[in-house]
Amino acid sequence: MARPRTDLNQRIKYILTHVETLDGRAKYPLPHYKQSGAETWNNLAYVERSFGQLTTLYKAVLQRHLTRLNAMLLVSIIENFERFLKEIAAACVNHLAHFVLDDRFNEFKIQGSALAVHFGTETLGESLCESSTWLDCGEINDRFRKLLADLFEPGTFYLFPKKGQQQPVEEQWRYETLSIVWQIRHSVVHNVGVITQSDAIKLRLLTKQQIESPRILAPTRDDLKCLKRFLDETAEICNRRVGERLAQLLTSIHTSNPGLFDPQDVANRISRTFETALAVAGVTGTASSGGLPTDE
Amino acid sequence: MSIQNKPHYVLPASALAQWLDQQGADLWWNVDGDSYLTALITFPCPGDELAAELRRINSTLLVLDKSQSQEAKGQVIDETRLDELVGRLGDDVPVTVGKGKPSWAENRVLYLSWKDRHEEWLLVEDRETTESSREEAAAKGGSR
Repeated sequence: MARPRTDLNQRIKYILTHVETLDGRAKYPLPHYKQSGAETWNNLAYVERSFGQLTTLYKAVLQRHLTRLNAMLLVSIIENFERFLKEIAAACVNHLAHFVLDDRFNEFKIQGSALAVHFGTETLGESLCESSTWLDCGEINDRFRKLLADLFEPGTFYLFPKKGQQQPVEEQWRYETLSIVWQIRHSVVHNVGVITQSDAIKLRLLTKQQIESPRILAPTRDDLKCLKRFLDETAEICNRRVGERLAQLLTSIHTSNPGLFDPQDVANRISRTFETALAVAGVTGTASSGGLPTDE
Repeated sequence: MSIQNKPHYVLPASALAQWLDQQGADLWWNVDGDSYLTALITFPCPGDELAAELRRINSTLLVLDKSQSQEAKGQVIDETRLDELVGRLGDDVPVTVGKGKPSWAENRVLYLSWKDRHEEWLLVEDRETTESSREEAAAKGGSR
């Protein structure tokens, strides 16, 4: 029997009509990250609970499907973190754009067509940061170092300090761990969970342990839990460090040109973005407008 | 149909915070469905952390009476009434002969919403994380 003809072109476009509204707090990077992380974790808990109630399910089949789901959620957890990095970088660009004239934004490569879609909007940061991937600790470091450098200086801020002179020393271990996370994501996203021979070589170098290949990654619930915990902690630390460094930089800009902006206004705006009380030129901002938003 | 239209009580967030304190600061909790709280705290989280945030928010909650009692008509209650409104995640799970309920079934759950928001959400005890956190704390203490 012939399959019925469907206008698949139209049906694919139709997908874009199935959308939900974004919560207001999603415009702030850390709350957005936390919300999405909670949703992912609750997805897993809900499916596990619901399937767990179906006592007639064949265990091996259930386990196979749950393992596949774990792999999908593992990617969601990592991509949520990648988006968070992109959003804090974009926020830094937006908060600095009016006050700097040096080459700090040259680290971002953007095509004219990508820029054109942002024309006339207040989204310079998004236009510079959205098109790049944020999946390599070295590249991420270079972007933030330049972005948050003192005026006309190469910069000394390392979001993920590497072994050696980079500060803070107590955060250096995250560089290696996060690099392993990026490589695991690569295997799941680009090879449908298969650790290829080249993946295994990279992972062997990163983990300094034997990695067999080809093998299919079969992440457990506990793996996801530890991954989420690592990225949750890292996001909190990144948010705090980037916010504090931005405040420090704006203070130094204000010192060299006191008439450039009102420190209270800028301190309030960056404090809201980073959800923490940050001080610019000795004036501390208000972190949150407070109060529970209503549905109205 | 939102909690507002079902048998429910009104509960100050500070009363829920008080109840959480009484359960133990090292007990872990999860929130499922509240885009407001989940944007503020990383879940699951320890009870004292959640209690502090609830006190800071200082707003009003509605708590569902799952027993559908006719008495529940939106009266204001305090933390002393919460134990009778708590359900268990496994309340509706059938138990087959020879098999116990799954480990998560005993986790306590409250069905809540903020007074001025339509989202209904669950506050769920997370015994698994509580246990692993206690084990971790004990291991750290032992290795000193």
